[in-house]
Amino acid sequence: MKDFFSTYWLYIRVFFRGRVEYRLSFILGLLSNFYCYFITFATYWVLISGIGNVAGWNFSELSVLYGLSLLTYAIAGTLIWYTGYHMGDLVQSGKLDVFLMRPIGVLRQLIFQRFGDTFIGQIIVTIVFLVTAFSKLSNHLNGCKIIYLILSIIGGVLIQVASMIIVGSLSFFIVKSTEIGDIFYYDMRDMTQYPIEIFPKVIQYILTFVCPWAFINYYPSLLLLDKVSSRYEFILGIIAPLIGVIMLLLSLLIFNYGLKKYSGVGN
Amino acid sequence: MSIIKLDHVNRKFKIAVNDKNFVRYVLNRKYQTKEAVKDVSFSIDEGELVGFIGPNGAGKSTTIKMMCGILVPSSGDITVLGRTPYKNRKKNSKEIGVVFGQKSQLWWDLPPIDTFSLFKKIYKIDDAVYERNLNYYGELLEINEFMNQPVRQLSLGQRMRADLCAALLHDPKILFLDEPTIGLDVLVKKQIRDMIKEINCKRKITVVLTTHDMKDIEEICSRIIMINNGQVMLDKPLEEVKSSFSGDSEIRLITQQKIDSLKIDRVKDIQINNCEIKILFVAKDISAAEIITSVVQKAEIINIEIKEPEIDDIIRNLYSIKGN
Repeated sequence: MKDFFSTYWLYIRVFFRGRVEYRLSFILGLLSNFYCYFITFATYWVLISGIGNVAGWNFSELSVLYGLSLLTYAIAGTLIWYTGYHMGDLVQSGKLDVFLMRPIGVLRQLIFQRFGDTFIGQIIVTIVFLVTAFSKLSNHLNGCKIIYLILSIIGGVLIQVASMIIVGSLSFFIVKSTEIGDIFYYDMRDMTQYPIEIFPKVIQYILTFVCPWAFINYYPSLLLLDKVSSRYEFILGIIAPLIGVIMLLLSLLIFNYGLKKYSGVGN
Repeated sequence: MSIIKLDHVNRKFKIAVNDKNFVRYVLNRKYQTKEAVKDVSFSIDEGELVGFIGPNGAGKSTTIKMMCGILVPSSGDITVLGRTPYKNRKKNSKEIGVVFGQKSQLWWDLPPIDTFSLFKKIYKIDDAVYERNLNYYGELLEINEFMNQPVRQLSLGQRMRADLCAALLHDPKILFLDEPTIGLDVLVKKQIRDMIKEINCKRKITVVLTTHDMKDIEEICSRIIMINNGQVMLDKPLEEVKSSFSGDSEIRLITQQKIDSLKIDRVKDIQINNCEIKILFVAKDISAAEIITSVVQKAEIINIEIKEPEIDDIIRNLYSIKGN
C-alpha cells in the first residue's frame, strides 16, 4: 500500500511535469471543467428555485444529494476515468500489451498512467457547493455524521471506480464499451441527482438492486439529512459504504476475467 | 543450458468472418478460428543470439508475446527461465526486457530520463545498479545528449535507442526485440546492431529478435528460426543456412578471344555474348575456381567479377518455397 502511494505520487509528479509542457491547454482544461460544473450547479439552482422544492427537498438538501454524486464521480475520475472507463482504446490499439510487460499489476498501472487532472475543477466547485449547502442546513453535522459522511464518500468513490472498471472491462468482450457505459452508467446515474422517491417503484428498485447508483448519494443523503422514514431506508443507508467495497470486488473479478480473456485463457 | 523452451505450442485466435449482409454481420456474426502458431517447439540456450524471421503475419510476434507472458498459448508448454511466463507474469517481466519497435514505452511529453526514473521505481532497481546501467547504456547508445529532451521531439532513431535503454535498466537476462530496426537509417541500424552484439557478448544477455532486415540477421545472429504460417520452417545456425540454402552465384568473365561454345558440368546456366560470359552456379555444386579453370582452357581472361548470393535472396527463396 505504501509502495502504491509512493509510486502513484511519483507518477503524478512526472505527469504534471509533462502536462505543463502544454501550459495553455492545461490551464484551459482546468478552467473549462470548473466553469462547466459551475454552470451545471447554477442551472440546477435556477431550476429548483423556480419549483421551490422537489418532493420536500429544498435547494441545500438537493445540493448535498447532487454534490455527493458529483464529488465521488470526480474523485473516481482522477483515478481511473481516462484509462479505466476508456480501456477499449487500449484494447483496440494493443497498448495494453505494454502494461502486461511490466512487473506490477495492470489495474495499478491504469491508475498510475493518467492522473485525471481535468476533474480537479469539478472537485473544487462541488466542494464549494457542498460546504455552502451544509452550512445553510438547519440539521447540523455532528461527529457521527461526519464519520458517516467520510465513509459514504469513500463508498461512493468505490462504486464509481467500480462502475468505470466494469464498463471498461466490457471492452475485453465487445471491444468498444463506452456506449453501454453511457446508457447504464451515465444516463441512469443521472436520475439520482433527484430524490429517487419521485420515480416509480420499479426504477427505485433498479437503482438500488440492479445498478446500485442510489447508494452513491441518495441513501447516504437520507441519513445525513434526517430524512429516513423507514427501517428499510435506514439499513440501506448504513450499508452504503459496504456496497462500495462489494462493487469494487465485483469489478476486480470482471476485470481479471476480461484480462485473462485478452491474453487468451480458454480460447 | 536452455533458458527458453517451447514444447508443441499452439495459439488460436477467433476472428469475425466478414459478411456482406450488414444486418447478419451485426446480429449473427460468424467466427472463424485462425491458427496463428501451430505446434511450435524449440529451445534457446543462455547467451544465444537468435533471429526470428518470417513474412508478415507468420506468427513471430505472437510467439514473442507468449514468451513474454502477454499471451497465453492455446495448448503446449512454454518455459522461460524455469517459469511459465503467463502464470508468473510479474516475476517473468522482472527478468526479461522487451522492446516492440512499433510501440514505445516512453512517456511522450517528457524526456526519456523521466521514463527511466519511473522504471527505476516500478522495477525496484537499486540506486547503484540504476546509475551504473544509465551510464553504461547512455554511453553505448549515445543517448546522453538527448536524455533531457521531450520524447516527442526525438527522431525515430533516438526514440528507439531510448526505448532499448529503458528495457535494459533492470538487468534483464533475456532481451526480446520485435523489429528493433524498423524504419531506421543505416547509421542507427548499425549502432543498434553493435550494441546488441556488445551486450550479448559482454553482459551475456540472451537476445531474441524479429526482423525483416536480413542485414540484422547476417551481422548479429548466430541462429535463425524461420516461421511461416505459424510453423517453424527452419531452425539452424546462420552459417549452415547460408551454405546449405545458398542461392545462385554469378560469375561474369571478359575474355580476350571470342568463344563460340562453352560447356561446364554442374553449373546452372551459361550465357555467351561475344567476349562476355555470364555463368550462374550454386556454390555447393561447383567452386568459382573450377569454373574459371574451365574457361581459361578456352580463352584468356581479362576481367573477372563474382557475385555471391545475398542473404535476402536466400530468404526470399526460402519464403517462396516453404510458403506453398
